[in-house]
Amino acid sequence: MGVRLPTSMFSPSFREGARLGLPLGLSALLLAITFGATARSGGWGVAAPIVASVVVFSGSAQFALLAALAGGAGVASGVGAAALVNARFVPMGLSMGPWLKGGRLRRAVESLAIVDASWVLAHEGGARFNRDKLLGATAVQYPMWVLGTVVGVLLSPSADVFESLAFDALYPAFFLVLLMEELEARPATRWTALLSALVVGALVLVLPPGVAVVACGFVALLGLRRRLADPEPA
Amino acid sequence: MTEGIWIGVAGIAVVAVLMKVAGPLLGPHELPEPAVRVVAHLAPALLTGLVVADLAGRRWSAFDPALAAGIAAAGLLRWRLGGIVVPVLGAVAVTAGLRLG
Repeated sequence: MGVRLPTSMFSPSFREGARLGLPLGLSALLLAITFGATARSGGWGVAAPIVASVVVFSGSAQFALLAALAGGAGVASGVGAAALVNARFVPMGLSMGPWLKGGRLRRAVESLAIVDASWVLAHEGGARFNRDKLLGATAVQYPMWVLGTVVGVLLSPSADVFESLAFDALYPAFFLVLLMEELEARPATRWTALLSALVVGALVLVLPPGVAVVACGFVALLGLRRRLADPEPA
Repeated sequence: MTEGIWIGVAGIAVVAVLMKVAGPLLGPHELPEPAVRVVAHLAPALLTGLVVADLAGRRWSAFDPALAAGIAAAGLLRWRLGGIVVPVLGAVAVTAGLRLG
């Protein structure tokens, strides 16, 4: 006898988000294994990396703290770097805010589901976002992120294994594919993408990559130019 | 050391939460028209930045031709075949193959 999942509990958009989020969840799992293993070997012990993944759920911030502490830069530097790296969540939250449900408090709680890939998957053009798709995509990635950290902490696999198997290609490949979908849907944004590539490519010469990415928020101001606006789909 | 780690974890947890909730807590229920146009450009800007940052690393020290070829393969597969999974797995296969070779 087959087991029937209570699919009616979730909206079609939520299930679509979860389906699209599955391969991203696999990437999150592998990256989290790396985080857990690196933190363990860096003297974080067992509990701290797992708690970090449970309460922070931001790979860029967690790796920023890891790098700061490993490099002897201190806690304040690590938290400061994490703040800069996560500054991109402010415009992302601003854009998502109107599409979340309930009062300000509930919308704030729902906004915790914002991560790069889920936010992009939830983007439906212009300033329109699909809340259920965001929640569905993150509902898959979050447990994988925590599970990966547990596995990494407990098994501490060598970083060479991941490099040999080219798991580091997963995220940039995903981001490129999602970018191509964005550019197909909104061709006028190609100039923004090109400028963003040049700006980040130059900034990584003087800034940590995670901080350089924050500049993309400023590049997006190109959207203020009316002639770079795509017509809104009906 | 251990105490510093826990303080750091608490610190970045607060930072991550604040950055995510700031928009929905402080932002308007409806974005003004210029903000709508900026948001439309935010996703391609961010995605491009993430790809370049992943490829380059700090001071371009992480640049790996095998990884770059893998990402290019993903772009080619997406262009010719569409979809998400096949291009991404193609990137992993090409990168791993070049590293082994």
